Amino acid sequence: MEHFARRRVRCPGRCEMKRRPIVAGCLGLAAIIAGLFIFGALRNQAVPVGVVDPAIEFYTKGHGGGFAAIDRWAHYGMPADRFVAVLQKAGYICQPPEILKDATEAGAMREVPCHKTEQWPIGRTLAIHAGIEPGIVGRLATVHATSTLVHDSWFLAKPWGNLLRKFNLIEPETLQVTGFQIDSIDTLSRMVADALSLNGWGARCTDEKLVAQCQEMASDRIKSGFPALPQAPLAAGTALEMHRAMERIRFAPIQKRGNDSRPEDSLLVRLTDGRMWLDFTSKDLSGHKLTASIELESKGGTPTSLVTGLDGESRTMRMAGSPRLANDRSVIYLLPEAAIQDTRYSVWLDLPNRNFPGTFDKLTRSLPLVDPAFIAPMIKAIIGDLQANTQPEESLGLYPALRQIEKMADVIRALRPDRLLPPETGNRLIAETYADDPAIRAAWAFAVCVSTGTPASIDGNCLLRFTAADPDAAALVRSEIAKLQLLYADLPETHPLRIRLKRLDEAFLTEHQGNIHVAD
Amino acid sequence: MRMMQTTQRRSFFILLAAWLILLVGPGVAQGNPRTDELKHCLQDFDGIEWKLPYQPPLRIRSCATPTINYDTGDKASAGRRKLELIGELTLGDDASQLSFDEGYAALQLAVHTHFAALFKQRGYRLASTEQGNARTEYSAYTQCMLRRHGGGNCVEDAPKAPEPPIPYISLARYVRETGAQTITLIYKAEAKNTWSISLEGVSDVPAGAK
Repeated sequence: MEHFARRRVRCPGRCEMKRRPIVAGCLGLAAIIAGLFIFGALRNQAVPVGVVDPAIEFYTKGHGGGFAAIDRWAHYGMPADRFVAVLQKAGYICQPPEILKDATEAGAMREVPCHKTEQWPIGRTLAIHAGIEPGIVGRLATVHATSTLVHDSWFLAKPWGNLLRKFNLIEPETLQVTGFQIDSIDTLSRMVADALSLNGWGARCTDEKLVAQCQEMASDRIKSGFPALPQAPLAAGTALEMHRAMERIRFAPIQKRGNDSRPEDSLLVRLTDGRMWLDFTSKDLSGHKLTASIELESKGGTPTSLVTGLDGESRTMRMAGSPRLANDRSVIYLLPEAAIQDTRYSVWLDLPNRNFPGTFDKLTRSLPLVDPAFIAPMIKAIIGDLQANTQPEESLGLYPALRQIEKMADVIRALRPDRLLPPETGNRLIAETYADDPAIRAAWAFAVCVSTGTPASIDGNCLLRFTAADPDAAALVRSEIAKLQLLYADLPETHPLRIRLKRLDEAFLTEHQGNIHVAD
Repeated sequence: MRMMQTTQRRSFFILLAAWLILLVGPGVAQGNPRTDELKHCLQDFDGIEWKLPYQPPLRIRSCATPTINYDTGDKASAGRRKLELIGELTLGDDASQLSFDEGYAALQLAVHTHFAALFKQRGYRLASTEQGNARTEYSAYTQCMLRRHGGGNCVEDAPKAPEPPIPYISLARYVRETGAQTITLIYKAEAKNTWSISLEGVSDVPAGAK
């Protein structure tokens, strides 16, 4: 008590008056510093909504702010007009990119300059220089940003600016924008898989109507980036949807079609070891070279695998793409044309329909143009389809086997197998593929050895080779002929059915030479 | 004790069989519904084992029993069955030497011969037949009109002696007696390329339920 009294005596009321300004000054300074840090923290850090796929925000989380948070959202391949629009919204004045009327006007890289003046906490001019790749749309390829103090000749302006920069309260003096960097094969694979997936962001959330339903998906992507790679084969769309899906993540096809008179759906494919590929390439603002190749199988042009590549490293994923279907839900086949170079055009061919003879004509016109390695599998597919696609009467086995053999032979004959495959190749294909099905083997022999028309003719030597090479199939034909001969025994000998059966019987039983011309 | 064991074992096998039926059953039932429908329809035709001819190419246009109507609006009335066939008028290249009328008669003969064999196999006896004439004789007037596409002045010629007919069986009645029951089968060449086979007096009680 005495102590306090003594202090009070030593310091009369004026003392408190002296301390107040110091406390107030300290508080004010603290408030300014806090304000600056809050300003620094909030300063253009947020990525403008809807500018990029939310997954990109995850990968650019640690990037510095300033310059409208450009390092958090800029990415290679961004359309120039969208890039400019984002900056304009943030107060930048840009010289809009020149709109080219057609791709031939595209030449060297174009530069789009943007600038903005900031006054607080110190006056400075922010400039952004974007390099735009040539092309009709114009894609972002490089970005460089600078910040210059407006009055750096003023006393303390430079040290004050440096201090603010040191504490990251204003943007750095220069910034080489890297934006969304793809620096690992994992990130690349996840991004490409997500782009191709039927359940990915691109497939589900690019439609503006669906954006509301994608909010949960968006927040997941901001938290953890692109979804993990699926364990099961990647569910994806058709071959024709691959280009669009890859374009969404700024991958361009390596094999470009250019101006040609081919049908719209003709894909330019790379053929390597009998496998068809669509190749895409891209890069990021740091210059990483990215590749993605999608393998297509002939049946439906279905995407079956994906190979991603980054800086010499690669990863392969299985895909369960969708086959391309015709209006009647039948599968359409994708076949590469015959050519010397690896990159070829491809054609889409329908399986022939027995009810539409025109489909056979198209096949016989188109198949000779196809790469020979793909003809035999196509013929196999056609025969398989004809077997599967049967009428109820056929499914129930109501027709005699010989009639079915001859009908199948009509179909095979309509394909002109002699024009498509060397005889040995065709015979081997059928013998190997249908080792357990003597009826198809017999149908092949009928197609190759028995011609229709007037007069019809049977190549005796051809049938002789067939019966020697395939006694099982020959025995089936003989037994069927015998059954029918018994059934139609009551018909007059001159009846066309008796004549036909007798002729076939002789052809399959007798060892004759040369052609037997029929003049009934 | 032994009986209990046997009963348990039997129950196990019954259960196993039930599971197998459940597993396999849907696979069988998953076939083409039209095919299944046709199959069930054809199975209810007094046990005739149906086969279609080698030539001409025929298919089933409709099939009707009291319970099934395959590709037709109406089911058959009690005791009746009806099968309709349609086909191409061709016997293949080997008939090219014949005139159209001769070829048509040969085709009708082939169809009837084929089905007659099936009916005979099931125990049907031919009761009567009716003949059709495959010859298409146009009068001079009709021929004139056809040549001029109906645009000329065609005068009816004096009638001349008709050409001999080219006969074929246009209708055949078959019967089968089973005890007191008589089943009548009628095979009929309907329009130019359609045929019908109908049964009367068939028992509608499934064979197993008798």
